[in-house]
Amino acid sequence: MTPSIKLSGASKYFGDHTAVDHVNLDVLPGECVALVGHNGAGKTTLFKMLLGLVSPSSGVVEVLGQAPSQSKKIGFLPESVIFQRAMTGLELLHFFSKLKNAPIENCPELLEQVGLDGVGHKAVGTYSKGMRQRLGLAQALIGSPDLLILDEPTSGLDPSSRRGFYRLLDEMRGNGTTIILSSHALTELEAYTSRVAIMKSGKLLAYGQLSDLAEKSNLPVSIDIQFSADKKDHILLQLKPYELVPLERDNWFRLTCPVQEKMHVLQRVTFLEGVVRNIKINEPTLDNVYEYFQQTKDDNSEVGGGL
Amino acid sequence: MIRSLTLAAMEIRMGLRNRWVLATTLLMATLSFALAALGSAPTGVIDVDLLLITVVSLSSLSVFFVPLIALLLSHDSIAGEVEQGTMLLLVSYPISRSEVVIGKFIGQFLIITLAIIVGLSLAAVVVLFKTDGGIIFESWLALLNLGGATIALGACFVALGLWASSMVKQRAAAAGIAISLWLFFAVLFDLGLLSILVSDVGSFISAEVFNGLLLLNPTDIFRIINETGAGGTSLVSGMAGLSAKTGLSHTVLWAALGLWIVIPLVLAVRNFKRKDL
Repeated sequence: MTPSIKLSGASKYFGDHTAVDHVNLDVLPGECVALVGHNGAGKTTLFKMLLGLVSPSSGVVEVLGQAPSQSKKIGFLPESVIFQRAMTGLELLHFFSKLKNAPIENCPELLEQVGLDGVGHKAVGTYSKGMRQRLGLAQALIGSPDLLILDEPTSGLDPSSRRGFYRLLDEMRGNGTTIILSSHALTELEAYTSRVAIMKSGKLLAYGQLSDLAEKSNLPVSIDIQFSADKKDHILLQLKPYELVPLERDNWFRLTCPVQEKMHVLQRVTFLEGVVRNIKINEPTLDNVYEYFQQTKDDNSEVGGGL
Repeated sequence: MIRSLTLAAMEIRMGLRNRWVLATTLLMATLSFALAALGSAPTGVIDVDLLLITVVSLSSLSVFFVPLIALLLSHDSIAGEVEQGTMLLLVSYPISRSEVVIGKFIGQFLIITLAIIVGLSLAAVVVLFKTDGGIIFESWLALLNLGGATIALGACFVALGLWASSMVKQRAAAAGIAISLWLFFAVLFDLGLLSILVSDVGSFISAEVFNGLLLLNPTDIFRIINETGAGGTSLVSGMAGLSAKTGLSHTVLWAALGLWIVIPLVLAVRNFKRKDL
């Protein structure tokens, strides 16, 4: 299968500054990949390379099977999107539709999709930040693109709009659209992205499914267990050598183990029939994995990087 | 080209919405109305068609106003959008950077053209009322000549404004360049020429060189086209002598004005293509 996005050793230098440093990245059709990293990590430059707005200093970049160029098959939402304030939402969508040679009859439907129906005839200057962001998303959806490049798409959106936004992304993925997006809201990305790419100082530190990255990072899993009150000593003995740390809830304890031993521990815990009243497993979150790679991968060692 | 026209239509729509079209048209209309209403007051009572006097008066003032309006319209159209952040989204669409520059040029050119046509038409209407329709054919020709030259002058300075806008990333810097361009072409260039002529005691500067120097300034080309042009404007403007001796045919003058549109546009496209967004 031809990847929708393929970067091979792609770098971009601005004078002495390295914005993107030998990045290898493949994104398959229909995937939703989250690009995460601190401000200045090189995410926006990488997006501009995908759009053909910045040419790589070295390496190869391919988008939808060819060299990057502006295309009607690509939808782009820039970070903190800004529009001409005097124009109405509908006028702007008409304008962008014409540039993409897409039918303008679909514009009201696009506004409806992003929850802006009813305000299409109002000047963008009267829109809130969240509404402008939603209009930005609507313009990115013009022409049903094969690839969506979204730079901080949920910035300025309230929780309800965020949920709506991710539902829309799921629909797009269902239709075969490939999505690459950047965000600082890591927790909400977990449920919606197929793979995560972590960048720092232009380098791709890690790339893969969250579960794989968690395994590679070797971050521990914590298991919260609620026991019957009178069996505590017996249990401590049974689960040795693991330590049980009491929590501030009735008869709840936390057991921490390496991710590879998770199933083994669970088997032992469930074997304690009649003693265990409840279990809660805390897998490493994207926040944990992100922090781990940001702190430990200062050298140019790249993790994952392929399919 | 279709995308350029789409962008041009958007520019006009934005111009209408943010009152630029209204402001430029009102300014040109007021200027034309005032000069046409003044009639022969600037020249005294002479036996010359009133429309011809108005044409000469309008050309004398347009040479300052039209470049200023054109530069005001165009100077921030690239730098402003880059600074504001709207340009990044625009160029992510399937529109080339040359199409962006040309689209903006067409839009702003049409805005200033509308203002000029409304202004000159208003002047003609006022003169028609004052003279009860007694205008000679040559005067109409002079008015047409003025209209064409003014539109071309506007196009030159829209192109120069776009060039200024393509050189920098901040609209304040673009405004500085635009004001400098206006000062240089509308005021300083002629002062410089005058000082050269005054100091050229030994007549080292030949007529050919002087003609060449005049072609380096679109406002001078505009002046020569109008004040040595159709309908006997040279007599009214006091340029009859120059008209006979300039050696620059109107074909050369119009071609030079054309180059003053094309060259800044080409430079603007080149700069914009190199610009990192």
